[in-house]
Amino acid sequence: MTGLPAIAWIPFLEPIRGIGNAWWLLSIPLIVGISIAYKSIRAGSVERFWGQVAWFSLRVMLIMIALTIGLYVLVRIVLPALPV
Amino acid sequence: MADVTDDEGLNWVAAIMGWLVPGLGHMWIGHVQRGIFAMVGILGLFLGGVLIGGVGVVDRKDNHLWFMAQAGAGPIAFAADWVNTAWVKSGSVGEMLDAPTPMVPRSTGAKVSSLRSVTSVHEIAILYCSMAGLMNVVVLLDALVRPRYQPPIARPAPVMP
Repeated sequence: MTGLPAIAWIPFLEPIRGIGNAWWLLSIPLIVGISIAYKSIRAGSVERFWGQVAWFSLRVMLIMIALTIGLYVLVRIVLPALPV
Repeated sequence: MADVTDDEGLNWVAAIMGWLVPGLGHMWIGHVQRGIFAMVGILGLFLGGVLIGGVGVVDRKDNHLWFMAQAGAGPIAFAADWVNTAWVKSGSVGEMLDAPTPMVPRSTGAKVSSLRSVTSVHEIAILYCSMAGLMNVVVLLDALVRPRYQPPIARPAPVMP
């Protein structure tokens, strides 16, 4: 912008800086956001809403970690061990 | 808050309101808390995506397939696309740089805004906004079929003989 070069970061117009190597950490708030939207309609009762969101988010993260480990073992250990 | 099941049919007004403002459809049919939670989740995702990747992640012309998902979040997606087109892609904000060949968008020629995000950050920011739109479609479909909230009927205390 002609008048704003001195401003370090313009929120919402300019990408956030310094997270290029840790982009995968952004999947955590993504999962939490999806869980909030999902549980807003699927929770039987909204009395313990945030507890249900936390539990659902935790389960999704654990499943993603398990899938990551499983794919790592498959690609790095199992497939190279197969006879060509 | 108790849910009451009855036969009211489809609530199209709630669905439309839910598209205009995420969560408003549930508030319209009396499920105020659910509406607030849905609003927090969906607008949080959408604004989070724009905060991470800049408004350039909502692009109707160059990312039209992603935009179809993002449009589910309602007019806020079209507003973000308008800001992106009018301010960022036009060069009104930031500078227009020569784009590397793989980055050249189809509709803007060989120039790209210096405010455009790149690599994985760009992709996950697009995913944030797209998930916001898709989740809002799920939420407004729920508002379409969910019965209007009816407060639980207070029962009189039993009379002891």
